[in-house]
Amino acid sequence: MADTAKKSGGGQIIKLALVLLAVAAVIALVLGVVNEITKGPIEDYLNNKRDEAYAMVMPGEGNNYEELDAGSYTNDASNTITKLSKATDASGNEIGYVAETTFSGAQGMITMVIGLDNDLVCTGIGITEHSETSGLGAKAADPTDPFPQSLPGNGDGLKLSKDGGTIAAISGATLTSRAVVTEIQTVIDAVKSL
Amino acid sequence: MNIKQQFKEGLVTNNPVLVQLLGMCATMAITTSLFNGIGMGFSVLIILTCCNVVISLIRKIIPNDIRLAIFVLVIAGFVTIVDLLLQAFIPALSESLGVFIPLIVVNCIIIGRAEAFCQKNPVGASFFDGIFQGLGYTCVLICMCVIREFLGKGSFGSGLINTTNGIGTGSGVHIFPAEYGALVLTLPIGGFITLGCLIALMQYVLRRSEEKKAAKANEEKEAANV
Repeated sequence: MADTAKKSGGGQIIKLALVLLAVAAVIALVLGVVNEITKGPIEDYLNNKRDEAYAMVMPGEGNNYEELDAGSYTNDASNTITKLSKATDASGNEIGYVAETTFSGAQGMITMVIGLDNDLVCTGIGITEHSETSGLGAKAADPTDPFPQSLPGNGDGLKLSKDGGTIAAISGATLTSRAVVTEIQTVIDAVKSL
Repeated sequence: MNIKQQFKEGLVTNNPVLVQLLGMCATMAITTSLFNGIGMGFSVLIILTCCNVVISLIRKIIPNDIRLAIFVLVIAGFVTIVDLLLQAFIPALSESLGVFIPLIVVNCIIIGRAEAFCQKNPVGASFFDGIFQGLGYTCVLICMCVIREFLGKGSFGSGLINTTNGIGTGSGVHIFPAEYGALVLTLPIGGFITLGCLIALMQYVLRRSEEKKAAKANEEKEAANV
């Protein structure tokens, strides 16, 4: 390989660069077309999932969510709350708060929707994206698992039983459970600071 | 090289995972349910076949000095296409495979076949090489999934059978309750153990058949001498 470069010097390098550029340009064009086709369905899917999570934590038809200004509440050190909204039901009564959060779990980032009622008691969680271990931490994202089902009804000061609280962690997935519980507390603190 | 021989190489004698020992990281990581295994296997099969064809088509015009860069570009292109299509049309699969779809870019099966096969062979042969090597990979994934799922969770075909809410949500057939399963098999360590056993089995079978062949050849030789 080295001797071809020696033989023809600068011209050869420009030729290589042009070939590489041409290949990259063709691939970029194809990817652009594919992106154009798939953009719609991917967005629909993510919106659907978020809406489902909202419906799970705030039951009822025709709820409205009014986004609160990020400066009006305290966030934690790594700004895990990405969106905090005040929820009102169809007839305009305040029914609580919904937060969209992104925080680190045991393996990667977890994206979760958390609902609180007016008394700052958790009404439920909905995990929309995560990369936790299948069979262990991933159970947190399964609404039928005992762990997510044990969360509603817990208010300010909630903790895992290992940390002196009352919530039983998913066995084998303490880190995931702790991250979820800590995040709920972060949202409670944020709403308290309003 | 004829198709029959390529078929045998891809699935058995030169199996990408069990003989060439390529692409093992993803193999161990995703083989926890049949749905994942089949999804990953076919994603790799499609990407491998497309890359093989394209690389074989352009093999005469790419300068030798930058062939690896071009291989990686082509592979990354196809992986991104498959990734986007999965996200858009089979989101359940995209979610359960997660980062392992984009990671196919660095799956050494694909660059390995490009380097070892496609840059020296015509399009037709490269196409079949992609299909058979992909099938070989898929078969190993399916074996691993079935073993790990059964022993680890006591079920068969989770994600595919007993579908309740669209593809990928099925709970599978429970053969014994999940609590009695060896959880260790669904964890990464179980991936190592299962893969090790499969490789050992494969080597045993290959060696037996070689010994048999050698014995047969010897016999014929002796018969000819007599």
